Amino acid sequence: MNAWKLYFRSMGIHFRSAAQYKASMVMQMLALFVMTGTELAAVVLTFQRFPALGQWSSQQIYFFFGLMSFTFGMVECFCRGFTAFGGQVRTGNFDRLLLRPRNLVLLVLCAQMDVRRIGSLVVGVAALAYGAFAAQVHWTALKVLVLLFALAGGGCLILGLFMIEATATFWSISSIEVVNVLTYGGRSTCQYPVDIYPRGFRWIFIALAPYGLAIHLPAAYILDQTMLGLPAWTAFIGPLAGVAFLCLMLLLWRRGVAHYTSTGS
Amino acid sequence: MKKLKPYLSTLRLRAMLELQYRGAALGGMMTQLFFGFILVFLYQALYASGGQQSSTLYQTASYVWLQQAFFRVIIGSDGALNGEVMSGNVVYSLCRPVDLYGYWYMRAVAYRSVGSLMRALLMLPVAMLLPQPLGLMLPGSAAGFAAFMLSLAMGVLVMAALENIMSACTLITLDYRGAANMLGMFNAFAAGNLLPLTLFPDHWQRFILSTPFAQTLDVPIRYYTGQLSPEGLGGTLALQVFWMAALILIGWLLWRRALNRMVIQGG
Repeated sequence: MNAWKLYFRSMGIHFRSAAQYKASMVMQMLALFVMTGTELAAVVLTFQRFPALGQWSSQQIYFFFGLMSFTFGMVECFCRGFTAFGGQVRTGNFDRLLLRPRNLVLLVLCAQMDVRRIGSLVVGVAALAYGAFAAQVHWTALKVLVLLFALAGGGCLILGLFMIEATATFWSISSIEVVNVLTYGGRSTCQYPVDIYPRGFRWIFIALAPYGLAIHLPAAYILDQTMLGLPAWTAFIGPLAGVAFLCLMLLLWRRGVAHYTSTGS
Repeated sequence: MKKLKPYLSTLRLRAMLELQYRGAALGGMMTQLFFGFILVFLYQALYASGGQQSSTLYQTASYVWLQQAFFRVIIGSDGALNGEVMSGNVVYSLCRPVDLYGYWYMRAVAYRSVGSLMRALLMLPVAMLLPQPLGLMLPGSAAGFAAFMLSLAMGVLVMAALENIMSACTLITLDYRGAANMLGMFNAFAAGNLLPLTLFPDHWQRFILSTPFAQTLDVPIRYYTGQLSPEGLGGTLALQVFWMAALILIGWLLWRRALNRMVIQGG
């Protein structure tokens, strides 16, 4: 079975297993729906009072919010193997994966799925669609392509950030809260375009954790605006920053696995 | 007085336990500081984008810092009850010769007051050192500061009553992830953690100020920043006592109902 087929089959199994407890699954999806919905409500209420945010209109900000919620939610839903990796090493479950004759990253990805996140994905798509509609985006083939780039590049970046935490567990650093600043902190910060923040602070999310390049540049292109004084074509290159980040983290992960010693039993 | 003693002991013991987690408080503070910066920068950009505002950026920034410093008053819970209910260990608590509601109420008060005081004492000095419109202002007046402290203490009592209503959901559904999580999120929103309640539309303000959610942390902060004048403190305290009493009554009834029908998990 090739890698993708194996992955999709695993996701199917996880979904069906969660669907065995239908009421619980629906309830938990609803909880995530309400949670992300409340965040969106806070953004909507903000623009009852303020007319705009920097160069962006409220509708354009909904688009940014939706894009971020959706990308982040996708990673949390379909890459839970890494976003909730912590327990794997401690419980010794990781040893079982090492015994299987497939790529280790693939096996970790196949191991878990977070079905609840579908609740926040719905909010993300709704905000994205409404934002694009209300901001009167004229869709072209190139814009659709750029949107797909942003989802892929942003997804890679977020997965890479979660991998830092996962990799750190091999060196048994019990909790590195600092990374939360880049993952969940990045989610909160970068649901707004980076160019609204002061110059020094911006660099964290351009150079260190390049949300600005992977997600915001493409979004600005779709909304027919420029950002950080960069030309429009950079929107097609920006998402590569996310891919490069993930590649870097995969190298780190390999070193971590080589360093791994089982906790036993 | 003798009847109260076990509850006061619970309060004291939990408070001492909280003080053990100084390292966690320091770690948590760094994260809260970062989130504080994000919000303050965001409001700076919003204020620069125009519109007529009823509060200044300095007031809003101060609101954000106080919310971040005292976030533990309104967010999170010690989670022990969830664990007990799901594992069945709640049966040991049921054997104790105390009213279970009162026991958990005191634990909640200790968790929320000591936990947040520790964090606030670490964080507020840092926030005060920041440059003018982005940092934490000094309180509007000495009376305003006194009103802040008094209403905040009452706010903790209101919040603990709200928390016990959420806990009742755990007791009934046996799973905190659904209903209780949703209530927790709604509480964070309605108490002004996601967006300061002072920035909600002006014609909602009268209604907002009467809800129990605003009594926990929002109203005290408004005394600090001078958005409420200390003369109104009497009314605020009366409203807080009313909500505390009402919420405790509702919570206590829910708990009694839940405990009567409780099925112990595990084996």
